[in-house]
Amino acid sequence: MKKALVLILAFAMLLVVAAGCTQPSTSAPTSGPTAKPSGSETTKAAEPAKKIVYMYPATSGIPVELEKVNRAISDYTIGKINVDPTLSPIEIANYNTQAMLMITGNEDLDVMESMPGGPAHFTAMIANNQIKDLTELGPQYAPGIAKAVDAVNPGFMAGMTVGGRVYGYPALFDKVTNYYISLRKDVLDKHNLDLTKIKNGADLEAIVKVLAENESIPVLTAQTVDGDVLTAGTLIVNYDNFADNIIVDFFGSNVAMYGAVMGEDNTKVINYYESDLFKEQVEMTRRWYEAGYINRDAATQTETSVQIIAANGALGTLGAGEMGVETNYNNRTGKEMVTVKIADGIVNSGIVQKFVWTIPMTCDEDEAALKFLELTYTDEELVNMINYGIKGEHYVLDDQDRICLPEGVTLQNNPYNVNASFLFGSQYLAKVWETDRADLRAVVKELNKNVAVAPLMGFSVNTVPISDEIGQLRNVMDQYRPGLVAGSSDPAVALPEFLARLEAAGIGTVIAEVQSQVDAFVANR
Amino acid sequence: MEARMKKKQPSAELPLARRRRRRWFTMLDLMLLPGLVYLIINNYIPMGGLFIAFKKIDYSLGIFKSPWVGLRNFRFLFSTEDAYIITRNTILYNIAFIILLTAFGVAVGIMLSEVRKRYMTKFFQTTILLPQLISIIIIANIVFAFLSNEAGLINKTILPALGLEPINFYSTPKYWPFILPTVFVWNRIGYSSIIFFAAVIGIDRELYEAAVVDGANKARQVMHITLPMLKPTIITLTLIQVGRIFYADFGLFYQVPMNSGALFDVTNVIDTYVYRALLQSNDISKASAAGFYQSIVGFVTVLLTNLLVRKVDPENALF
Amino acid sequence: MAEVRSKRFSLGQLFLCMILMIFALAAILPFLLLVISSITSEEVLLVNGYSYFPEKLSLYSYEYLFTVNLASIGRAYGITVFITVIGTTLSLMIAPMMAYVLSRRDYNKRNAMTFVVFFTMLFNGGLVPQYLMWTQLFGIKNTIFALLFPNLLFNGFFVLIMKSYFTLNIHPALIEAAKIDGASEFYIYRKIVMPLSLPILATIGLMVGINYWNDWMNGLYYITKNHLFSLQNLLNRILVTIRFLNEFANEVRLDKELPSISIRMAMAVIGTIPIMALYPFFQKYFVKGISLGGVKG
Repeated sequence: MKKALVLILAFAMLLVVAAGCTQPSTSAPTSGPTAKPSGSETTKAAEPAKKIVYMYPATSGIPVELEKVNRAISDYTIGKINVDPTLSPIEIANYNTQAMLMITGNEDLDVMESMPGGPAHFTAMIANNQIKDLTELGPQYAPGIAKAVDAVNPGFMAGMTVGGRVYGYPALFDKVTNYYISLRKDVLDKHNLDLTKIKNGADLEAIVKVLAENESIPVLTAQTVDGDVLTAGTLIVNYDNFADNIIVDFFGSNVAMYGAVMGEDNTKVINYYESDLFKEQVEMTRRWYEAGYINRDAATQTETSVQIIAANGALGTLGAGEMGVETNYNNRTGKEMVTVKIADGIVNSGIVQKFVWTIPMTCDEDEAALKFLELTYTDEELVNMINYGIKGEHYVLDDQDRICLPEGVTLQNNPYNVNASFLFGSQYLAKVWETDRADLRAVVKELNKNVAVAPLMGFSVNTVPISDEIGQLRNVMDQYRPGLVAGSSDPAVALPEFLARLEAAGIGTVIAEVQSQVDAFVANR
Repeated sequence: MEARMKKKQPSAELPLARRRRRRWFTMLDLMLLPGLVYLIINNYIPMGGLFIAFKKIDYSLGIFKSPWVGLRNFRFLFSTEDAYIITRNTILYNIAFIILLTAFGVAVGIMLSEVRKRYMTKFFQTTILLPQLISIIIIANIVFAFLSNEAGLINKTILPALGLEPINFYSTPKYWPFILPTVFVWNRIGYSSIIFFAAVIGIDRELYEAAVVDGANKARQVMHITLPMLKPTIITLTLIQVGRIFYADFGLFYQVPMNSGALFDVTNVIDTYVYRALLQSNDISKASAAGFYQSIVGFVTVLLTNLLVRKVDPENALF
Repeated sequence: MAEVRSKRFSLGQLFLCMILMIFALAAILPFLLLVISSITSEEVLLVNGYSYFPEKLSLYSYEYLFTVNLASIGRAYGITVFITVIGTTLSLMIAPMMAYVLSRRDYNKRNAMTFVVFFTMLFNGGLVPQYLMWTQLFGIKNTIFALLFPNLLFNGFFVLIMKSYFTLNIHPALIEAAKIDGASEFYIYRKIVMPLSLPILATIGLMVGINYWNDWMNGLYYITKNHLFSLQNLLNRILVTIRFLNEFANEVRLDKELPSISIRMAMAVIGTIPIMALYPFFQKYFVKGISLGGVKG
């Protein structure tokens, strides 16, 4: 027995050493074992095209004819900037893991998009030193990107900096998120209710009450799987008067909801869950739940409200939406909906940091990578190829220059179905679908130009010093929050318990740390 | 790889070699070799990576040059109020699982072997294996199909038919210490029963024939022949599971209760806790530290258990 | 006398079958609900709830899966069958041999090597070291080997189960006798031990096969090119993508909507039925084990 143990330990030691020896250059990107073939060739004559790998999350599977489109794109960009990109879509659900593995393994990866909600989040990658500082590299090789971003809204680039250094460029899509209440038109008409007239929570409740008493389907369900029935995202709807909303800046989705700054020109960080605002919200939700207004499965629902409404699981929802949500909701649910805006959103750091284009540490072709990235912000032809494939083959244009699928092709059997034009460089360069209004991009651009920016825009929390606490808080949050915001747990019992557990899990430490970071940020602004 | 392995072997062999004079490398060694090589590659080499648990990874330096941080990465496991609950849940559920799965597996395995009609055996074997083939995400959906408030078979059809009030399963903790073991046994009994079935039909028929001659009925045969013959298999299986007593089946505890917070007191286990804690940072050092901790505790537990088995029944100790 | 005996016998059999029937039903009924909900229209599913007798049937899920991925599903079936057959065969060539050696009481490194096997079940290096080793040392990323070798070939559990079977059912005397006849160790294993061990070989083969069939993790980590997606990998990618997109509905703004609930059920059905069809193939070995076992004595 003892011998066996010694044997094993000896083995393990030996192997650590062996493993260490086989990959001595993991940390040196230029000479790693997986260094690009082009690395050695570039020194040779005739300037062969620089090869780069361009990675992004795939939302609708990996297209069947990816390679074919990739060849067309390569032909185009080699001619233009002498860069030969390899498109590398990774299924979105696996993106975090794969990105982490590829960077750890120093694999071929030159341009990658960050993604919210996990380790591939922009600020997390900065904290882990996984992406390059572009403060100098950016203007040197790709000045066009910042120009394109500033052209939409000069405030957005502020969200790309941490400690005064620039680390990436936001994917340009509609950053304006407003808040809506949406209910089915047929049932509203049946009971002669006018949703467009509501001014506050009581008005809304009156309508919901009538529906709940007369219809067999639950009235409201949570917009997404987080269980939030009566609030959404980063802004708190004021129930006394919808027009007078309260700005609550949670800084960013990666540390969402642990500390917040409330109101304008305020830099005092608070525990939002201790606020009267949150108490009122959950008490009201509970009342609605007990009155039977709310889907009783909301706290554990695994579908979005769109799917639930489409399948007659609820009559409506309250939540965040972007431009065109009124018509969008009709299309997506297949029901005629009445959608009324109840609050204007703001843009904070978290929103611009959702999808950010970055250059990972594994990149050894900074110039080529940035040049290609620049093209995705400036070149209409390239952006449309990445989004929709080859013209005449994967799409055709109608008389208003909108994308239509060719005869006999559906979204499902389209061999190049990407379905996520918000991901690539500037969405403003991508053509719109035939179901959209022809001037959609122009309208959205105008909205983004004029959107209100959060007081602490540009501030992001450095989570490294508080990562232990955040891990614990996450467990407490998952335990209490969905039940409270979906109404299935009683706030009289659960809320004090929740607060006590947050306290024990170290929310005080987190708030204090965030406060000191905010103070430093404000002092340097 | 093989060369390295050969070099290491003599050190383990020397004291044993005293018993009989043998060549140090025999035909049996050769037969063992392919399997051993695979385990070394697939399991032992990556184990070297456990050192990550003691580092703070800086990707600009690479994992080998990142700084050491001692036991810093273990702290998040113990500095929480939940430490007691997640440890308690993990251990108690695992103990329940070991007992239930063994009991049901043995019972079903023996019953299967007693069925005389061959087509019936085939039918039962196939059906009982069925749940083992379904992924845990789908199982979570099936459970939801039964238990959901708005659409569940129980709340929507069965309870109303009996004139009973609906039950909100996903926010009532008291049901889950029964639901989870039920789902677990339902899911796993396929493999378990087949292992025991194979063990039973491997038993020498002569033993039973002799017993019949002595006038033993079925019950006595099971008690005095089948169960003692199954004992080594039962002990092996139990020891294996004891070694993993600090590991929880993530899918079962995360997906099946639909990650419902109201149930955490009875569903939060070490693996789900770690998952949630690292969800946002995906700190590979801390993940590694958690795994290391679970392994060490399992290791100690299994060594003690094996020692106990060795005292009581040396023939059946695992090593 | 004989008549009475047979009657008592069949009563016992009836009782036995009734108990097993409960287990069988417990396994089938939820599965049936799965199958039925995969062909229930989604609307009925949410309004009336899950039911064995849905009001409205719909083949939409299957239509969706097969129109989207007809070519890829066919290819993925091919990959899955290939890795299942090759993987199981390789596994049965290596693992039982190892287990047999460990079961030999006269094997001088028995305890130490058993411990070496057992130890692999307690400790693992975790995903990252394993990924780095397989991709950098062996370069298996985006190759078929990625679906065959990491973790799936066999594990300590299978070896130890087989070891305990061999210990119990292979009499040392049998081996001694063969040795006296001049048989080599390998010959003894091939010609004597293996034929006596068909039930356990079938059991382990089945489990290894099912693991290969059901695996999607290896594909997720090591495969990023769609021509190498196995069936479960393909299905699970669709599944987790839908799930993920629902969770991040606020962050991700698709141009068009994705389908949902009943799709999952349909995917489970598509993934499960074929391996069930293969199962009877294994069952004949359970039976053979009995008869040969009887002969040996």
